[in-house]
Amino acid sequence: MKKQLGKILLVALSIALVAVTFAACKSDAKFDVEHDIAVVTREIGSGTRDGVVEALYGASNDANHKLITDNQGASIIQNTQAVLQTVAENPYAISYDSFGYCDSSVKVLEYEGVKPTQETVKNKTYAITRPFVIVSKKDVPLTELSGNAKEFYTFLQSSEAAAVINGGYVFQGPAAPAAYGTKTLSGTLKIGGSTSVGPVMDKLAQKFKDLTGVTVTVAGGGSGAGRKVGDGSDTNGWDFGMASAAISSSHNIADGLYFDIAIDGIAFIVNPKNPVEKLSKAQAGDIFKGRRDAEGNYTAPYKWNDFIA
Amino acid sequence: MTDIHRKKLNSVKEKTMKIAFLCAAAFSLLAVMTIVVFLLVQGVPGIAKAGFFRFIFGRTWSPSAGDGGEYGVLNFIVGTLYVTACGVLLGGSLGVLTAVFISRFCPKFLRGVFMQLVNLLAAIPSIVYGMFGLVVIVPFLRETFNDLFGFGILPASIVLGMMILPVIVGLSKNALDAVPKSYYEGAVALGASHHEAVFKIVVPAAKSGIVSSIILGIGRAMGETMAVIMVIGNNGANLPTKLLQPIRTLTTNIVLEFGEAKGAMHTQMLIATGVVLLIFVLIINLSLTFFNRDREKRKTPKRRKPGQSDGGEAAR
Repeated sequence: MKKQLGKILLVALSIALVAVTFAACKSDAKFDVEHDIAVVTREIGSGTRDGVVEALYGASNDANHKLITDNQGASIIQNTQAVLQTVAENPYAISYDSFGYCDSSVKVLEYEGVKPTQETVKNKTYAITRPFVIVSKKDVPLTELSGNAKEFYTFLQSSEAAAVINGGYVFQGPAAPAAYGTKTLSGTLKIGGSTSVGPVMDKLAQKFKDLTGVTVTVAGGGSGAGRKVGDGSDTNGWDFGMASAAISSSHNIADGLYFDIAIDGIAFIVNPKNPVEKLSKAQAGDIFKGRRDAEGNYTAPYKWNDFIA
Repeated sequence: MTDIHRKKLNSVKEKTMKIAFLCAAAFSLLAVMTIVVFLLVQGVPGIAKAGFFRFIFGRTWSPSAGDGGEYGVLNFIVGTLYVTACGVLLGGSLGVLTAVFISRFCPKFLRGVFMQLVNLLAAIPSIVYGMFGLVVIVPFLRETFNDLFGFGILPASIVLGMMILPVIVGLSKNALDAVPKSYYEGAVALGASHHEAVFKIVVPAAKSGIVSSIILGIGRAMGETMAVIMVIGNNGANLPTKLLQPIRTLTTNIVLEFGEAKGAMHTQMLIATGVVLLIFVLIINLSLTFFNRDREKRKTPKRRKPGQSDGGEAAR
């Protein structure tokens, strides 16, 4: 009796496992243009979100951020990598993400008639670009950096860094950067903040370690957390902060404390199954707000057939 | 060594040990008090300023609204309650049944294997559960129910159910194992079959241990953040009405907004959210204490005159 019970349990378990795997794998369904749009956005504090809100609604202020927050059909995902993951597997999703980070698992849309490429981001014909900013600690202006921090700053302006950054982003250091060469140093550095800057900073940290032996740990937390290094409220002990939006006067960071290392485009991404190819500013603005009634209250999400030309 | 010498040494040793253990206990007490004091000192003035009823029953959480901002956490309270309830329903029922199986139905050679597997679940970090939910559970739900995202209470409950399973299985199994053999043997001697004896006699005898394990599971599920935040959608404007709808819980709201808290009022209100969580956890732990006290009372049998029936007390 007991042996039979065990056998039945095992068989049931294996059937369940196979069923779940098959169900998860089945994705041959055709794209239904009558389907609602699944809007995925980043959290408040994300530099990527700041860039999109500024481009679509005019300025990155609280009132404009609220337009997306009030969209009851939208979901919030907290970092660059998870956004890509979500759009890559949900056929009806749309979101925005760092162009340098997008790969072939998602489809990048044309925005206002311009497709984002390294060229169009570099010559600013693509409308939504934002700088990757590195912020130094509040009482340590860039001219007064010392030790490993100073070495890292010099490295970020070098030709080795340019080679890493130019694979997807646009290097913002000197036009003819000098080589950094190799040095033997020791110690560690901590840098944290924007998850959009994270991927390229990981590569830069690895290159710096190859050249000098210094370990640079890269943390997330969003552009807001990165900016805190510059205004003095950082509690993580980071040597540098990363932000993926331009520093404005409201951020309380003194001039001489930050510099741009790259320009990145923000691309609107959809699932590869989605037939949509391009969006205009008005269309993108509407999609992320959701359908509104005359008073501006949210009513329903849009459907994809409103936007497929 | 003389007798007196030995006695004096022991007494000094005794005292030192006593003080050492007292310090350790005092440290735990200090830790709890510090956290509670921090929460109350920061949170209560915030609640007072925002208005207690507007805070608990308000539906709009909008820190950037005019006049300091509107802070209503009803959406999040309902979200936390739903997610915890569904998670405990899933994890609790599966956990208790698993414990019954491991304790009473499992062949001896498999028992160790099962316990190890269940304990493995406890060792997995919560962020890995979140990733598992995002990559496997959410797409599965999205396709099965043809939902927009697949985010919501349902994937969160599934993930939480898996996370509290080891807690419930471990404690329930101990409770079931602790039931005296005489209960089971008596039932079988009276003609009950194996499963009748287990479900009608042994399980009710272990009832208080099982309920304690469930209450502990509730506490764990209520405070879980990292796993939930990846599968729940995080839309603060929604009052949870469906199982698959992007919503926020008290814990995910704190994580999403703490880094970007604009100004002292916003930070205070986020800490006030923590106060609400603390109150819920307190209620749960107090109910555990009351429940255990009831069980202690039951253990000491009432005095009876010989010949008087005990109303079936012995079998309970």
